[in-house]
Amino acid sequence: MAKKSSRSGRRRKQSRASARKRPGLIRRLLLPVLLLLILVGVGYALWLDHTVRDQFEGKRWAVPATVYARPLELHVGRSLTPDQLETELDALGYREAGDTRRPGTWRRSGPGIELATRPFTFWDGPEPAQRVRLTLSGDRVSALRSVDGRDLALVRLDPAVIGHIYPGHREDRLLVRLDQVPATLVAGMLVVEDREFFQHFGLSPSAIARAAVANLRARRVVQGGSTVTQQLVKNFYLSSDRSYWRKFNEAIMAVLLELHYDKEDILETYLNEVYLAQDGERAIHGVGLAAQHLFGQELERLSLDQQALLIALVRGPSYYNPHRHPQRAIARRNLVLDIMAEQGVISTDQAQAAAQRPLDVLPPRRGPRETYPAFMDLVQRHLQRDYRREDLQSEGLRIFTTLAPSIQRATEQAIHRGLRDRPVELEAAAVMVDVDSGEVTALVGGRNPRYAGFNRALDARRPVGSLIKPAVYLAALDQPSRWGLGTRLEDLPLTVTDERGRPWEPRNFDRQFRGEVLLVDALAHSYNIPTIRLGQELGLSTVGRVVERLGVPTPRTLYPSYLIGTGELSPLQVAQMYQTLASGGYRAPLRAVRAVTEQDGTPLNRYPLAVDRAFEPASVQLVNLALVEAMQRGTGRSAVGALPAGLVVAGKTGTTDETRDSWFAGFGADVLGVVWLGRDDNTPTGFTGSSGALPIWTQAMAEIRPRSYSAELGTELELVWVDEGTGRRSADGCAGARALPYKAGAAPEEWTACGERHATRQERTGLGNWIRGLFR
Amino acid sequence: MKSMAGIALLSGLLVLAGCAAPGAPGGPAVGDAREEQRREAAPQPAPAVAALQDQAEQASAAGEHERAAALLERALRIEPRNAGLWHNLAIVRYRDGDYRQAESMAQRSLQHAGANRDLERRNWELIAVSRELAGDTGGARAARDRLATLTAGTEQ
Repeated sequence: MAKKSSRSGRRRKQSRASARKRPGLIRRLLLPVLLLLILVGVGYALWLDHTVRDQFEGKRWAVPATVYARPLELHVGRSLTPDQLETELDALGYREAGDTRRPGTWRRSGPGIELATRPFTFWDGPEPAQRVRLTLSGDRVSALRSVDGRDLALVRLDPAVIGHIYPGHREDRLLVRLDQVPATLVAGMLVVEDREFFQHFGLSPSAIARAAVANLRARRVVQGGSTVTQQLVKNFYLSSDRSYWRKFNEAIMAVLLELHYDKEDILETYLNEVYLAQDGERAIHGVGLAAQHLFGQELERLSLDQQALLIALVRGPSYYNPHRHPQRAIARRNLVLDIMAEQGVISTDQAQAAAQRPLDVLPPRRGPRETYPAFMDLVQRHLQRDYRREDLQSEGLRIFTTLAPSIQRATEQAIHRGLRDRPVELEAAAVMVDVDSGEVTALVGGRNPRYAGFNRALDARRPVGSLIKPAVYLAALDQPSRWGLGTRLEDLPLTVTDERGRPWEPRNFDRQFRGEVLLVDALAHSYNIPTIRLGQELGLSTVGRVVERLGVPTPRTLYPSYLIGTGELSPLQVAQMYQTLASGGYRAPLRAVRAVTEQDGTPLNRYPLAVDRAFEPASVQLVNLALVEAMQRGTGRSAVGALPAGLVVAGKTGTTDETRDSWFAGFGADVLGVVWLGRDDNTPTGFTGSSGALPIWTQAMAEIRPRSYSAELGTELELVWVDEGTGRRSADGCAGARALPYKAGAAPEEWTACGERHATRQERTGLGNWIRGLFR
Repeated sequence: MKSMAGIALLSGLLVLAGCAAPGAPGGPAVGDAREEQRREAAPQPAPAVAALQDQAEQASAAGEHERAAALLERALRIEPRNAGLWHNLAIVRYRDGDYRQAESMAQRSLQHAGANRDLERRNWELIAVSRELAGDTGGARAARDRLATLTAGTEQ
């Protein structure tokens, strides 16, 4: 007020001076000026009133969406290494502790761990908090029991938070209703912050007077006379500057708020608004979220000492930070307990007992919360179809994604190790997909997975090289009367017309010509010339249609060079193409989101599993078995030693002109991975698919531990002995005979002489023979 | 005509086929290929899958189709080659009126059904009626022919 009165004093002096010169002027101006002032005052008050009501009527906060990883499901038999389990628990922010009384803690116990899960409401229902003992052996869950010894069929952990979708500011809160807040917490908050809350009209003259006396005595500001209503107004509507003008507005708005809304409404809003803690960049507001953040518990279940700590933090979340300043926090908490007892909220005995308790807060996380910018980008793009950006930033939605933290970590680490000693310009991207569901379990958009820049996994469209070839062979093997794995393809110099109408002489990677090769070998060893011949015989448009059925687009005009991979795709698109192959021809659109719910768990959207039978499974199986051969004896054989012994995988390398792109796509029974290496300026890398991308893929898979690709023949395929030299039908024991799977009834009709002599009744044989065939 | 066929089959499809779940008591014998797949999926029979299957049946009986589907999808993530789960998901989609997915999922079930004749037959029934309701009369006829050979027990 001091500033203001001096200003008006000056004005008064000036007007007195002018009044002496022209008497009567002041009297003539007095009324209009007064009227004008009243008008401005009323207008201003109306504007304030509008402001107060406008924000209070509608949605009071923009609550960011919370994005979750897929929950870890534990059951006996599940593949799970100790490293993977630890990664998952770290991502969840579960703390290693001496005992597991509190949800969200674990401890080592014998050959396994003991674990207290946190309760969580999923799309399909609630999952209670449980204390379980988990035993791992042979990289699998071998036992799963409750702490009292009962066998448990299935335990679903709560999902790890992997990010938020924020508006401009980074405030987060978990909205609670007043009736969800413990009565002692509400009463305690009021006796500490605003004793006359239920009596005053927004301002409390006695509190102001009390504060003024206290401040005068201390000769500094030790106590604020602000009511809860004023504090709410300050946080809700006003900037944090400490001017008297703001204080003035605050007072008026507090009164207006009280005029329009009842006490309970104001109190509930205050409890949700109040700032209580900081989690990295994220500001924790409201008692609901603070309870979870600080204690890992539901608000309803907080003990008295925990409630008192929340009340204590109102005065300074940073100053009383229980991790950094535990002594201060305890002192303030106990002061709060004393006041609560003094005011009759709790008994003196209760206060004394609670004051003896240690600070019962969760230990800080082991590491910083990881960020997954590339995956979050994919999630937001998927959600764009159904949600407006503003809603994602403000409705407090819960987004359940498909990210598997342990698979993501294995992929990131493989890229990190693979590129560690390479030039910084060498970039990478990778996609991991669950084969049968099409769920994206990991996504890396560049060599630094924490950097939210160019997302190469989604946006780098590059020529795919030989990764396209399985489509050519699938087109052929889908016509069993014309082609089988034992069909001989010509591998001799070839001249075709390129897109500019000029002659083009394609070459094999090793620049050799082999005369004739078996179809299975042409794919497994990735020979260019036989592939182009085959594709031309099939027709480019036939191959193009197969590529589209695999789930990816094709260029408008196709040239023969398309057959060896001039078409451009992103790593994610390649993953879609190979998902269709890996699942036996059932295309499942790749998904990053399973479901979206409201903050309280009310279901909004589910993105269900969808599959389309794009090809006859037997045709796809023939292609995949050739890709198994590629990993055993063809272009992918260098990976064998680095993978767990006996693991059967199928895969394909891809290298483009002058080694500009190094690709690998491959899969076991349940996990599919695509890795790309290249430079953003598209200059050569010096890496082929098998020297660059393959070792990274292999390293990731060695950690992820997929199940073996199932090379079973089913009822549609049979194993047939074929003579390598002629492609004719042969028999076990004949020179040059090789066992290859064929569609039932589609084996070559012509026989070799030896074959005809030795043929027994052809039996349908399974996996064992085929694998033995591979290792001949 | 179309709806007649649909209604005729509908009554038979009102509940999820619990007996198709592996390890469920009284279920039909499963073939060798199935056994092999199951061993591959998990070293021991999975009570986890049975538990989810039970919950899915309850949800389905209570008319909560989408919840039933969500539970079956969870089970499939544990045993992705379980023919019974694919069949039940196909039924849920059929009851939703999504005949294309119903057919695809029944096909998927067939792929893993091995020598389980009963399941094979039920899948072809579902395919036939789904095609019919989706307007694919020719496809429906082909599925019924296939069904006839199965029922007659003359399939090679």
